[in-house]
Amino acid sequence: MNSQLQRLGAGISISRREMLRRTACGFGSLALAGLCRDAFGASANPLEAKTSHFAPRAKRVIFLFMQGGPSHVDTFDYKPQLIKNHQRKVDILGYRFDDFRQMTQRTMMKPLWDFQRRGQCGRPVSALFPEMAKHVDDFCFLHGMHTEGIAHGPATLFLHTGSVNLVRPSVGSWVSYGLGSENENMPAFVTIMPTERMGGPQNYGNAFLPAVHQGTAIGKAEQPIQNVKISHIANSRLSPASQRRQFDLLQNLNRRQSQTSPLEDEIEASINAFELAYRMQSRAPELTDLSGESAAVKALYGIGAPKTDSFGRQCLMARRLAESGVRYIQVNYSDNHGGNPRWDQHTTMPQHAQHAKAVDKPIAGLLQDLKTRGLLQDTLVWWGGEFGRTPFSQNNNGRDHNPQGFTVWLAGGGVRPGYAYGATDEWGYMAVENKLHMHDLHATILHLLGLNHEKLTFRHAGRNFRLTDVYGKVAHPILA
Amino acid sequence: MTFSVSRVVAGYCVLGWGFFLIFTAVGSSAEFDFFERKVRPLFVEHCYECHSTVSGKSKGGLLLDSRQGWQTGGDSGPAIVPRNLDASLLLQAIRYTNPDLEMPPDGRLSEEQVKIIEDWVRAGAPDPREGISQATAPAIDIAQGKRFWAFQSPALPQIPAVQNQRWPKNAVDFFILSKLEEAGMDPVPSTEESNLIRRLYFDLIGLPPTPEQLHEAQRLPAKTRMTALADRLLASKHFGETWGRHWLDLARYSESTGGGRSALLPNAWRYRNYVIDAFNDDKPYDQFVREQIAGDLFPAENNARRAEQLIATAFLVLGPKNLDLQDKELLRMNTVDEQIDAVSRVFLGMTVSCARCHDHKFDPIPTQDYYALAGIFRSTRTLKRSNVSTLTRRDLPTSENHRKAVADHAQSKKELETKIRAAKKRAPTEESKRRLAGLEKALEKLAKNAPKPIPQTLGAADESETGDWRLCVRGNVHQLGEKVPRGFLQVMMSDAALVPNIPPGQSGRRELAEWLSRPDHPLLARVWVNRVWQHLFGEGIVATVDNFGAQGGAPSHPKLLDYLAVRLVQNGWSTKWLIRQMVLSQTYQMSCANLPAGKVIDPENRLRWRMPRRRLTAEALRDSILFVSGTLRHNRVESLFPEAARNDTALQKTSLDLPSLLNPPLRSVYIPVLREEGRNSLLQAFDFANPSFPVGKRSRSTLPTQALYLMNSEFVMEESGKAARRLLRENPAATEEDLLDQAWLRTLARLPDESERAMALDFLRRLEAVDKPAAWAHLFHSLFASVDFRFLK
Repeated sequence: MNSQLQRLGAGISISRREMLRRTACGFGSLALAGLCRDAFGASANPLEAKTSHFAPRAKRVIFLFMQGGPSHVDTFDYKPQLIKNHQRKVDILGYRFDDFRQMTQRTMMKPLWDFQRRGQCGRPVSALFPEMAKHVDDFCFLHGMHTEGIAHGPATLFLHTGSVNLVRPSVGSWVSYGLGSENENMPAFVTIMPTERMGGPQNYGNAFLPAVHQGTAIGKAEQPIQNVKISHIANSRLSPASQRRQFDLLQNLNRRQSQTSPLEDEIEASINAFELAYRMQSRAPELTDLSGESAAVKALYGIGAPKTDSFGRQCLMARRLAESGVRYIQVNYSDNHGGNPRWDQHTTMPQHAQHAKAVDKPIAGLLQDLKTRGLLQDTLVWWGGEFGRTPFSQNNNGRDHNPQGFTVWLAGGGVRPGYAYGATDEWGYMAVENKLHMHDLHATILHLLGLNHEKLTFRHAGRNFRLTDVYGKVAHPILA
Repeated sequence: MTFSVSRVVAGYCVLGWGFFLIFTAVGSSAEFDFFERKVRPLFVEHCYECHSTVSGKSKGGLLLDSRQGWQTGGDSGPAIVPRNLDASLLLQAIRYTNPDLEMPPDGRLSEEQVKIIEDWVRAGAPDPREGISQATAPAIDIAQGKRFWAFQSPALPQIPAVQNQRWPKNAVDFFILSKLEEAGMDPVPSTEESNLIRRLYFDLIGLPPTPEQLHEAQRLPAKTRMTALADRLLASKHFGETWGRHWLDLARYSESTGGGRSALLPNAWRYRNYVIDAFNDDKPYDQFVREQIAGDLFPAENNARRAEQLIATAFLVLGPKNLDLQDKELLRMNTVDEQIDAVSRVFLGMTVSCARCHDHKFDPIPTQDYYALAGIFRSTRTLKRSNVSTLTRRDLPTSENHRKAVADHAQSKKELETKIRAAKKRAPTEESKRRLAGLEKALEKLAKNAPKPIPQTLGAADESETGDWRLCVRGNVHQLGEKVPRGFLQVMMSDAALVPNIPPGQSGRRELAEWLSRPDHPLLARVWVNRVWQHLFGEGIVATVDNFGAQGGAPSHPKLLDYLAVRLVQNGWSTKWLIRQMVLSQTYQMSCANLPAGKVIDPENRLRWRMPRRRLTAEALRDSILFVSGTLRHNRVESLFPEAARNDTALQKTSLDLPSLLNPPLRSVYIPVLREEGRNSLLQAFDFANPSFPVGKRSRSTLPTQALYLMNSEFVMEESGKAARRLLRENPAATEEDLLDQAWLRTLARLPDESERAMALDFLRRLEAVDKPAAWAHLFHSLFASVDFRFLK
């Protein structure tokens, strides 16, 4: 299967490459073609694999999005003071609409799960993630994360686009724009089962970047995993033979029409787009079709076991996409059926256990599989939510959102393994040491991919825009 | 080095400012010598990139290329305190002891280098550099800025002379031809009649001609054919549906707010239909503009006009928001910013928003001008502050009877409810129970017979507190600077006397609307002429339709632009007049022939030697497929949202049956536009405008996902089947050849050529096993996907 996938990516002749170039070029009116040239030197195919600004440490990203805000103090950020001061009342500076910048008394709540030091590095991991804990020596923890937006909507958009309110391109779109695709049969940015809420497609949208950089969604949140595929990838009515006949008629008509109007790049591009689509039809579905994977691999991801099957399949798809050359793959653990982000436990923190169970084995399996295949070294894996949760309780047994201090971890592609960078205060409330703002994380991810976040710009509405706006600082200490 | 403790105040400069460094004589003491040999090279190598006048960067407001630079310091204060190492921020930074302040950002200096700086500071930081660093741009020279062509009112130019007197049909052509003759180029010949008719139909009403309409048009006398057709199509109600949609792209029209907790805007359709009507009624463009900015503040002749004017202000309300943003001041100023951005880009073709944080880098728009406008929009209410904020709605005028009925009903309801409350408190006797039941029944009955609620629209109003606002330092809404009197963009003010005199208690929107729509405004008419031109000719006279500033493109035909702009105003700002001038020109009627010579001399066709081949808009593509299949209904609708969803403030998808909502058998302009998931998939695939910002020019992409849509979508297959059944039903006795002619006429407004005919017959023959409707469905499917269907020749 592996070799078959590689063939998908690599078995492309020069003429196809040339054809693609034309296809993509046709997408430019002359003005756009000019833009392409400005941004990419001589090349005019916006998805052609491009040279990075400097040597990359990672070639691709797999982002495991834990939507809703997993609690850092219950998972990876061990706070003995919080345990000691369980139930103590503390004055906290408010951040919500009704207590914005006011002092309010809150009750501290200790983690609901025990922590244990794990691996060679001895980093603490709570009992929520027994499987992931086995890979702790690969993790680079960022304990000093902080971000913008205290409600899900703004914070989710900020995580994806670097803006809480304005419409900006998604991280994956920037990566697609900066690096292009390594597989000319596939887009550079794919997101698996994204939420329709909290900004929905804006979270994988290209905004003002060329449309080709938009994230391609495979399925959507809450959809049964079996039905997950790229839109319109298959014809539901025609047999392959009659589709072929119809396709031939269409292309013959197109060629005839193009003969009567020579020198039209756009028409040629259109014909080429059909050729590519026809091929994509037969190839893209293989990427989401897991039937060829061995039973052992499936078991590794927890596929088949009821609680881990769905996310396990998502993770395995991610590995297949990574292998086939997709640059930026987002795997979403997003909404539940009520439409609430899954990790959002305002009243019942014990429910975290259920979500941890659903993702723990699949993620451990993904890491193991990437490692076995030699992919982890140039794949950056990013685990995290849009924010963390408060160390104090809400509604007795829940925790509120906390954008002021939380944890994400990175693994693989060029980050220091078995390392922890940054810290929150004694409670786990505010990031205080080696703080890393979401803009900084964006800058660091681009850096790992060989892109300078200050130079990756696009001119729109009269000025240059970038993912990190006017902010962002690369976290050099976490580089391997 | 960046001395920015607060993230929000970091500065970001793309291009260099002019610089003003004056080096005066330098002493030659040993101390200065130490600086020159040891310290200056370190500064130059490690700091100047971000903190010098020459590099054009002063991150965190700090410059290190003069003594005064570090003495004054950046946003966090002086960078160096001579002889005091601990108080010197610069030392904290290079020692990497404070995680928020680590410089240089890409790696710390060696210990030896740090020691050099320490020694120097300990010695009193002797610095011979006498210059004055210019951390900010020199004040923008407005008078100089006014010389730019776009900021001068257009004057009516003379119609140029041409050699080939037979070619021009109207004034437009003289301007085009004279430039072509100058370049030694010939325009290509006219296009075929049928192409021209199809072109005009799509351009004006967004639908193809039926075979009958085509036939009828071809029989009109050649001399008056185009005039007659243009007049007929401009009078069609479909004209407004097509041109109104162009406007809705600019208005970032949507029926949901977008953002985190997206809310439905169930009243937005009123604005959409207002826009369609405005185009059908040929509402004078200046009036159209005034109404959208300040319709609520202008007097109205009657209730109907009053309603229109209120609805028009939805333009200000419709922008994307994140209503659950918790920092409500930020939300408020972001809303103001979005309004400034929309107004300046849509009406003036200018990007003013840059000036939120700093003076505009390219155009003569100082930050003061931005906050002069911000004061106006901050004095305007479009949002109601709450945990999840809501957009403002306004009651529309209604009949006296209706108002009275609603008031009476409310009164009766209140009375009954009071009585019920009282009855519930009484001791539960048989009598009192009976009485309570009676009251409750009466209340139920009342609810059933409630009069229709007073109709509402999204709309703006002046705030209860109005006034000037303060400059936000580097755009930070919590760091307020000096107060800025409300006003307009100075560079576009022909006369200082135009500074508005805003009456107390008012926002200034009315004055803004009046200023914008002055007949001598340098940009309003030009920008509109250019937008209309782009829709008909593919590219604008100024190619950057949303940017007429210094960074925008220069006009290819400046005199033509001014001619049309001045004449537009003289003709009562009539958009239909303007379109008529354009489509009746010979320039419009040229073919798309692509001559090798032209491709060499003017490959981008800036001189207009040919008509570019243009693609159908997503709406025209969808509507014409439905039109050919016979599915399209031509009625105009209000909201398509189900009643339950209309009263739902948060967008709860569960109450929306999206597939049927998003693909009704109606013109695409009536499909709800949502900012999140849930857009019509055809529109989405074919470059529909992103409803989150003004779009003057849609992207024109050619993607495999579009091909996949045309090949595999249920929509195209379903409509192909209907088109086939309709064709066979309507022509029961026709031969295969006749049917082919019909299929081609319906889809491409022409007959198949011999080669196409042969291909199609061969295809049908090979499909013999398939039943006839299915075979013809395949044929229509191919025609719908073909380039001639999707492009205008």
